Amino acid sequence: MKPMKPRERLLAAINHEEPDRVPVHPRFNDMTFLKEFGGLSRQQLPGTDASSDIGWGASGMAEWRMKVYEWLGVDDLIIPTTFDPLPKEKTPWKPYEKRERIIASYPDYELRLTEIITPSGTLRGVTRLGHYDADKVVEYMIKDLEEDIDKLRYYFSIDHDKRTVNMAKRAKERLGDNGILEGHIGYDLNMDYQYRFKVMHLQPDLYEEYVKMGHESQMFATRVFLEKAEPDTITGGGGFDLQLMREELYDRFVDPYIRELYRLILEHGAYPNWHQDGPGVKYLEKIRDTGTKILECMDMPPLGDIYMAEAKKRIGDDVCFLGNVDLMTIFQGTPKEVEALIKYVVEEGAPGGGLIASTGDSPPYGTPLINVQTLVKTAKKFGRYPIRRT
Amino acid sequence: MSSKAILKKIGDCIVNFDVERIRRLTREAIEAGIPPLTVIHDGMSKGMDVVGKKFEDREYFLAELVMAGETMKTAMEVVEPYLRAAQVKARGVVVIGTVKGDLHDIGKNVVISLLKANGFETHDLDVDVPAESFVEKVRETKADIVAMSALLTTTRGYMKTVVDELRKAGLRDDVKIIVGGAAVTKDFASEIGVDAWAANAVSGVQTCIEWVEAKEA
Repeated sequence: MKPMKPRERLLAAINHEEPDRVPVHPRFNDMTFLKEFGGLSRQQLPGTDASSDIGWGASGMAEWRMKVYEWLGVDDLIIPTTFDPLPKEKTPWKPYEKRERIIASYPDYELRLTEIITPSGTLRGVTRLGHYDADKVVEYMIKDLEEDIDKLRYYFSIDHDKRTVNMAKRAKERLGDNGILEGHIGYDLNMDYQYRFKVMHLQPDLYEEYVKMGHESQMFATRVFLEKAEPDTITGGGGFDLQLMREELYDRFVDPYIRELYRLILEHGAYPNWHQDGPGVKYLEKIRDTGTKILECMDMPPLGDIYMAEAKKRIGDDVCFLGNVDLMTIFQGTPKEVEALIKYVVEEGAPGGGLIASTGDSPPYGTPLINVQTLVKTAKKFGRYPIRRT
Repeated sequence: MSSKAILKKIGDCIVNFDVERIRRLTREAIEAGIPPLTVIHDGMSKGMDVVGKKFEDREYFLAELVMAGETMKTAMEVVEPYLRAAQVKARGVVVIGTVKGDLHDIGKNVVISLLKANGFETHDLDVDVPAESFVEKVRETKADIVAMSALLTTTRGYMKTVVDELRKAGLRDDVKIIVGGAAVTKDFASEIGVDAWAANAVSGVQTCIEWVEAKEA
């Protein structure tokens, strides 16, 4: 078969056509997850230099990712870009004011106060801006949903961020035939998990109202993003919580909204991507029935309970898989163990197309480079079509 | 209604997250002369056992664990004044926190809810907790158990620092240590010399209950 370009290869796999070989794309958030590069800044990583445009914006990140993937020997690029449907400016029909300021500075972190001042009152939240892996919410905006619901009508704006759309467009142009552009969409729950579960059980109608508001904002933002930035895939949704709640709650608070969102994505010629962390084998058909075209992560034991052979048999005709690679093996295993794992995933998942060889999620910090290189090499070696079992 | 029937219904309320009914039934139980500890052990705890089983069987998930904990907490609010009046001590004292460098707290908070619901006195050190804070709190509270959480592979190593500092302070043999969190494996727990590893919140709390029951026996 004539060699395919990466974009063509990825799209063939998603459309269940057999490409020249299985596309390979290990996921990572930041190259410093590699043991060899722990403690380095992104400017110090191979493939980049101090002059590289590696700002956190979508186009800068795209540039940086392309360089490090090239360094890793990865040809098939899936470049993520975040699109935040929450407003950066005033909403078009109900203005509010957003104020942010640092209220305390400590040697290791700062505390940032955010206030959303609306005609119905003020929402107030505090975030700890740390030097570790992520920021942490110290005080959530939503403390009493009954009291805060009217303020949220202002908070859940349907405005969109033109700057983000433009950056995504530039990233897609830069990608060209080298890969596909992935959009990430979500709405900010800004509510403590435990409180959220309580409201869901004790005030289900109120919680539903809140979900509908978030969904409305998400639908609008997704539509704008699809029309303006033309991403190839979209990952996300307001409540991907199948592993956190029982089915009847999922059916009421998540499923109908996800289906509507995915219909919108499909109508625009893009592919929805469902990210399933942890266990999920029980729900494979339920995930497929949302309309998703890609299922990523798909943890196998010990983190989850999904094996490629079973997933392929049950929903493989409709859904393309991206992942099912045990991250603990990538993290702690030997190259030989990694090779056996990737071989298994390719042999079970690749026949007939529908597989992108990937970690599906970012490997833990401290992962040896040799294991990521082994993943890439093994998938390329055993992923030539037609797939042969060895 | 017989005592057995009331206790059964209290347990059922926890399984079904019936916050309003459990308050009423717990009052009825106390007014019917059922000792508060019996209400906890033969009513609420039995319900929590069912919830734990459903969680293991993946019939219940995190949302349901939280709600079962909330329901039990409601019943504990009714029972607690009677426990105090009878000078019944907490089931055990637990010092808990997410270790230094790690800011994740959802799992830790669920464990705290379940521990409280099961009659433990908990001292939450929050997140990003240095070893010296664990040591100080153990000394101050005369804790029975230290529970540590870490979500990240980069931070779990700090759990060993806490163990070492407790040893240096001469407190290691006074406490049982349990660890959990996404980055923590059974093998890792053995390597750093703690007493137990929890695969999830339910099994972690169960281990704590077993420890204090063994101590009482």
